[in-house]
Amino acid sequence: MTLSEIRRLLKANPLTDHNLDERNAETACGADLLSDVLAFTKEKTVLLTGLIHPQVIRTAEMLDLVGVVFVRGKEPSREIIDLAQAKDIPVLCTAYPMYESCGILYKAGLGGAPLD
Amino acid sequence: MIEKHHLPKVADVMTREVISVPKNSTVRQAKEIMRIKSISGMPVVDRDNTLIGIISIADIIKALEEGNLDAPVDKVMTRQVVSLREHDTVGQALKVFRQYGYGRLPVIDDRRHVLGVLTQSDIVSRLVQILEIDKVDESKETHLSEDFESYIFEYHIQGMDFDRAGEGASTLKKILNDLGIKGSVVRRCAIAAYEAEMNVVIHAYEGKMTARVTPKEITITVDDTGPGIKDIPLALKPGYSTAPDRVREMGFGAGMGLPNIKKSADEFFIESSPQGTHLHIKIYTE
Repeated sequence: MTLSEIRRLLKANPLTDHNLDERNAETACGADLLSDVLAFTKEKTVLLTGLIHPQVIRTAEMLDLVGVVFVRGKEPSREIIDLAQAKDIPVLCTAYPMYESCGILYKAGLGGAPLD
Repeated sequence: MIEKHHLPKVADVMTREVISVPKNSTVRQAKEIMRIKSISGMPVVDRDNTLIGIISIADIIKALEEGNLDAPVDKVMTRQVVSLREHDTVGQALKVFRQYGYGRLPVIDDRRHVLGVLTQSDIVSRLVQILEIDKVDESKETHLSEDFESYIFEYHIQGMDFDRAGEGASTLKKILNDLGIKGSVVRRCAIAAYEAEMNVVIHAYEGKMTARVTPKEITITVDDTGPGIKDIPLALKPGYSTAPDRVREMGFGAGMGLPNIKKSADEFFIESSPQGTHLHIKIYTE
């Protein structure tokens, strides 16, 4: 599923300057614990999180995540957006809470990662 | 790509990943950052990334002569900073470089927030790109694969510096990619290095990460001065954490750091005393 499809489904607002049609996610991960994201996330994943901190972008960078969606309408600071732009991580923001965001994407066909 | 008739602006050529130093860092720390990053100067910023000065090698030599290595950088930095704006043209920037003879100039906004840094070599490499002088395939160019014997990377980690936390792992990741190391291996190294770096930032006073890369394996060691880990078997248990609330609010401190490092590594060794912790891991490239 492309990030532009995710953007449409979640009525999300893109915060970085990226071509979302070119970014394709095979799975998603909803988490507020970055250590869990680092431990269990597979490649080609989009991260949904309620956590607003530069370390979210760092984590996304380490894992080559496809993008980050901030849920519950939380707006990250300019510093976070600049870091995301610098590290080439597309960032979106949706008003939907975590549960709904995950549910909408799952229902639209974006499944979870297979268990190890 | 910039169109030919459009005059390139500073915003088009500057480096946005700015290596800056907080004003309360010591001269010694600034010297280390400059040594590791091989740069000759850095913007000095206050808490909200506002430019307050520049520290250069000349400032550091002066501090060294005066025995001021442990002074905060804002005591020895150059306060009268020549800076650029994003909308300045490259021609204007070149004029400033010629006029003042500086190697690098900070790029700031109206509120003096640092947006980027510009060097003359940034201008040259961007112009080369714009003029398409070199049509070398970049992925081939950086793919060194088996051509290198070993590569050493060293990085200083400052305890409690949450703004910069992760920059060491990020730099290592870039180096590994440039050396042509396989993606899945780079990923494991990045995760281990990042968790190790976060551990130093969260728990220790300061530390040093060293990575030795050969075509066969990547050895990462992280040594810190800090309170040490009291009970290593307990710290290796997923979910065990001694991290303060501030760290938990950032999504860390879930007690997954060391287990994650161990999971990412092919060889794992850790020892700790009240003077500090020594972590040593190896990740095989095949």
